[in-house]
Amino acid sequence: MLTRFIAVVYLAASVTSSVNFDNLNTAAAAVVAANGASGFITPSSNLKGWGMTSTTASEQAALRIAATWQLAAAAVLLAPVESLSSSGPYAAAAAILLSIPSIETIGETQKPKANCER
Amino acid sequence: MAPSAAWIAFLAGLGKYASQNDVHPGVNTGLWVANSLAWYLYPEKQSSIYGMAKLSKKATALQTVQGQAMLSTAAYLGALQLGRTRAEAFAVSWAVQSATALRFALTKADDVDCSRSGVYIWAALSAGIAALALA
Repeated sequence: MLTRFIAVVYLAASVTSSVNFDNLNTAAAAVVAANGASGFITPSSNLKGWGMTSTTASEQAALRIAATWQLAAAAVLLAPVESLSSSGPYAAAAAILLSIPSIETIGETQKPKANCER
Repeated sequence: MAPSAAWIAFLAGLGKYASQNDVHPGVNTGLWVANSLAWYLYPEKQSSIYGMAKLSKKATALQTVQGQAMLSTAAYLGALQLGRTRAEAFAVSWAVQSATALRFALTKADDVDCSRSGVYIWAALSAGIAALALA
């Protein structure tokens, strides 16, 4: 919540001080990145901020995956247009790499539990 | 794990190649558009490819949030591809963000105990950002 709040304050400050596209782009990317960082670092708190107070490990992992793509979206917004042919794929590759632990978490929660009863 | 590793290798290779050679921007845009639509429209099918079948309703809804982030990026790249200015492409991207948030609020939020008002605020904020880019 705090990161999102700081980003929104930054957005408001940059918009009111001077509306030029570069400021707006940076501020908007900061909002997306802050939301992504918050979702990736503390998915449970992030979900609580949206009213979802009770979540499972796989639901939190699903949010972490979504958060990596928000970080990638912010990176694409900030990248120079002329380099998007390379920075776009790099951002996507980084998002998938960051998603792997969450994909494994979800996969693990779906495996049948071993029956230890004798 | 295998599909993820294959994607990482392919995308990193493409990124490296594109940084040294002239690659048509449509390649990058096409990949973003195709994948974002797949995740946004068919999250269950995509999940099963990555070994994440049978997710809860809430987790599946969160995967459409992933699709939203990808889709807004794809819209930005697509608009640039169509010759729009950076500010116009940015506005298109945030308009998509706003529309998808609105759709989430109206169709999914209640099902997954998500605060509708929070999503409405996000949709309004996104629409405002889109409008500012065109101001």
